[in-house]
Amino acid sequence: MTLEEELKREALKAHTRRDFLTGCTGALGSLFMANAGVSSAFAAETNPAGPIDFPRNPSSPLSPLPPQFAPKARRVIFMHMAGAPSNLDLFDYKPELERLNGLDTPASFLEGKTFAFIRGVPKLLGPVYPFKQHGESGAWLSDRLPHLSDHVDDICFIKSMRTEQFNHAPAQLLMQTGETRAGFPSIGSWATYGLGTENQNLPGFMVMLSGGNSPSGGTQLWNNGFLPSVYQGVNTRSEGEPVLYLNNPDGVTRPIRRRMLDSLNRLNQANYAEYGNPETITRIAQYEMAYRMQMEATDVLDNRQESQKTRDAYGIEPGKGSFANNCLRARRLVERGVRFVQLYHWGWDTHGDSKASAINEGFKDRCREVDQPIAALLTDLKQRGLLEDTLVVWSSEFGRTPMQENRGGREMAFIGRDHNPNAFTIWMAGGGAKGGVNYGKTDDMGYEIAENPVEVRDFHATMLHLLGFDHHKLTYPFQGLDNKLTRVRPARVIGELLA
Amino acid sequence: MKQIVPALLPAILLIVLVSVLAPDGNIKNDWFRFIGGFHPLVVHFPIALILFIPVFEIVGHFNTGLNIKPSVEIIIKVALLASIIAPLFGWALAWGDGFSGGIVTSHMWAGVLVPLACGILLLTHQKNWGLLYVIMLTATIGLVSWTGFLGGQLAHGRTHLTAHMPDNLREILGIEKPVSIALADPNTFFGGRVAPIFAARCVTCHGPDKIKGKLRLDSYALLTAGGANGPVIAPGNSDTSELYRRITLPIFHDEFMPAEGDPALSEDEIKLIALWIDQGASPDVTPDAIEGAPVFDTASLPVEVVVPDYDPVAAAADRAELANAVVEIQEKFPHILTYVSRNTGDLDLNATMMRGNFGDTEFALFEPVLGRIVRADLTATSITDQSAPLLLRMSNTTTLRLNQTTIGENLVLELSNLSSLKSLNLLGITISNDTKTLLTQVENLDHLYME
Repeated sequence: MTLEEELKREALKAHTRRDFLTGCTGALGSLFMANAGVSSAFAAETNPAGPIDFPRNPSSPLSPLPPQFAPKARRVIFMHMAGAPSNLDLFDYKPELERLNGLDTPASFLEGKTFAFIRGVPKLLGPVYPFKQHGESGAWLSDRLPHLSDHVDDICFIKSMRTEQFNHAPAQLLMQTGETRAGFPSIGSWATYGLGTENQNLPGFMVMLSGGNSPSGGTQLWNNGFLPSVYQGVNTRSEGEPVLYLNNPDGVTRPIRRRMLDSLNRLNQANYAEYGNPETITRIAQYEMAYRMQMEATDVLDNRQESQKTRDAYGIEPGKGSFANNCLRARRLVERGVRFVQLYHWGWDTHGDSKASAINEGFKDRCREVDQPIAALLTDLKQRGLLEDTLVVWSSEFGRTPMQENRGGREMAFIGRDHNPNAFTIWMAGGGAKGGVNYGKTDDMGYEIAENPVEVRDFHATMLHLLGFDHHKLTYPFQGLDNKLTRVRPARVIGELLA
Repeated sequence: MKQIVPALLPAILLIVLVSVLAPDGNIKNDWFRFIGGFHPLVVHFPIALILFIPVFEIVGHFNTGLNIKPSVEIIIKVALLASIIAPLFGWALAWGDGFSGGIVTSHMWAGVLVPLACGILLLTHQKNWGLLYVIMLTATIGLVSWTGFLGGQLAHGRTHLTAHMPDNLREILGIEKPVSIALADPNTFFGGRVAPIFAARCVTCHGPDKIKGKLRLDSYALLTAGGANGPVIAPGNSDTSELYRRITLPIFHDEFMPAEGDPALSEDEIKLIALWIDQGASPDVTPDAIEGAPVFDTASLPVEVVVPDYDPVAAAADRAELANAVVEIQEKFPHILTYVSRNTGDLDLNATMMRGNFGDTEFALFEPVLGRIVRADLTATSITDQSAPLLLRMSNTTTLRLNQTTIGENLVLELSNLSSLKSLNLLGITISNDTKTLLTQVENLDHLYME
């Protein structure tokens, strides 16, 4: 078969039976509707209460669009501690649990409950580290977070989060996409879809990993789901080249790259002229962005451009990929107009089944790895006037049990806690979140929510509110439903958390 | 006589039992409490059976083909048996669990009269005394309903049927809206702050209708009188107060209050009670006399968030005047000039994305829209003092970021007085100490960033 024949075949393949049928009925239907004057009913101008549309030129899919109402937060840094740190050893101080430390867990705690690893009757485990109150707000923090404790008056703690999943991957997906299954857009995708991004030379949604492993939810956590692929998170590497294949290969200069891209674009344009698929235009735009990124991304992700003083404040060790590195990069990215930066730090799954996963061992290292960088990030953002309109979120997928884990019903060598989806703590700072707030309460054991429960979807609705959207209005039609981040059950914007 | 004795004797024995061993408010052997726990379960059998009687009578009367009338006698007999067993459990509950009080007594007496009524009903049925039988049946059903209603009041409170009655129905029936009983003078700390907690959380079981453990908390005198185990508060010392001990036990403890799986009192409520006891548990101190007493009336209420609805028509009207000018600028400088939101004509200028490529010449082209720019980010642009006349016209700008520019400190000082300005960023600009002092004195500014 000659090349020409093959091209013809491919062209014919592009017209499927389905295309034909869609064309028939769809076209007839629209003829009717145009005739009957129905089409104008769909126009937003005549339907104020209808959904918001997100019209964009396909050649600039990330161009900024205004939100529904004036936003408090213009950009987001979302830190996710993958594996679920113990809320009971960091933020949720339980003196009553301390008093009952070492006693058998009452049967009422165990009835009807499923645990990942706890079997039989475990012992209650009080706070492993001493707690103290900090700041004017009197927030309780354990001594594992000495740097963060200086910032409590800027922080809005939600101590009454709960989730529906007690395994990492689905719970992480719920936190990041609003659904427990794969295939739904993550918050960052929704934010860039709704708002675009300020800097057209960088992706609008960037992801950085640290802690030695990827979160168990995998790349689905920053996936675009059913949104156009251009809104998916771009993962940068923490060591070596931050973005792969961004640099020109040896012997290829920038002008040569330009000529190559121009040729490619001509081919893509021809393809678009023939089939009219807007994804082709998006693809051209992606190539162009990659070309522009060659200049800007390498530059913005290069922490060496910061002063030694700044790098020391974050606790960055030269030449080492780390959460600290990523925190500084996050600040550099939001400063350059990236809409949504997502940081994952792995290694918080403190079951106590090994030294690394013990609350009295590895947990200390995890805390040390994040405490100083987070505090430095907050200081840095505040000092640069960015905290005013940058929302910082610290979260996880669930909490941990007030019982010491007894894997297989036996006492274990290290101290650990099992998964607890019924109660955990997350916090926000800046970007319109009210500082010095301690919202919600768990019971005396920190086991279940006693006051003001916050569902993940409530938190999502609150985040979108800060970004300037009613969560009902940021929608995308897919499979017959106007899909939204908060999914279908009622969600509440928690007004008590807003500055 | 052969029929009368088995029909009426058990009922009479039951009446003798509850008269002799009337519930006295003291908690007894666990066996009684255990058996008593089944009362709410067992009690529904006689109710259902008694209600079956008229159903069978009526259906049998109109549909003789079914031939169900002969079953009535056996139903009455089973109902009689069940109506003797159920009050036995009820008595065990009241006797063993320390119940007393007005409704408890009424409920008990109504309950033990049910088997008597059933016995007489059985006799009138066996003797075929038509009219008397109908009257007796009506009376029995009435008695059972009344007993059930009283039982409902014990379990769910006096107003359990009328609490949520719609107002218009309430008007028709002439039932008044339940008001919380004024327990004590609301202008005292006890009446205004402590008593409402007791009323909401304790009085259902420790009140006039149901008195568990002989303790009533519906007035100051009754509270200080204490319960079956003596006083429950020690004025001046919450730590030795039984009431305080009970409400602060671990929630799964046997003696924890509120009992029966009700949630614990909130931290603030407990603190309030403790403070009041520690300060002498006086009935007269004024509401503001106790320092540090937590306030929780409005602070903990949810804050409803209302956002302006998306209104493209209003937004288009607000934008109309400058719409063309905005489009022209947007074509020349893509992506840096946007509307603040879908609902307004206010603008957001984000020139920092152009860095050094944005200078005085470029800024001059924004002249037509300056008055609508509410946020201007000029960070690291090459804008200079030459743009002063334009910058000073930005009367609606609330946020101005001039950091890393070469704007002079005199212009900075002038700009700090822009009428709407709330946030001014001057990092990276060299400013003398005198000017710094002057800047910090500008009242409008909520945020001022300087080196």
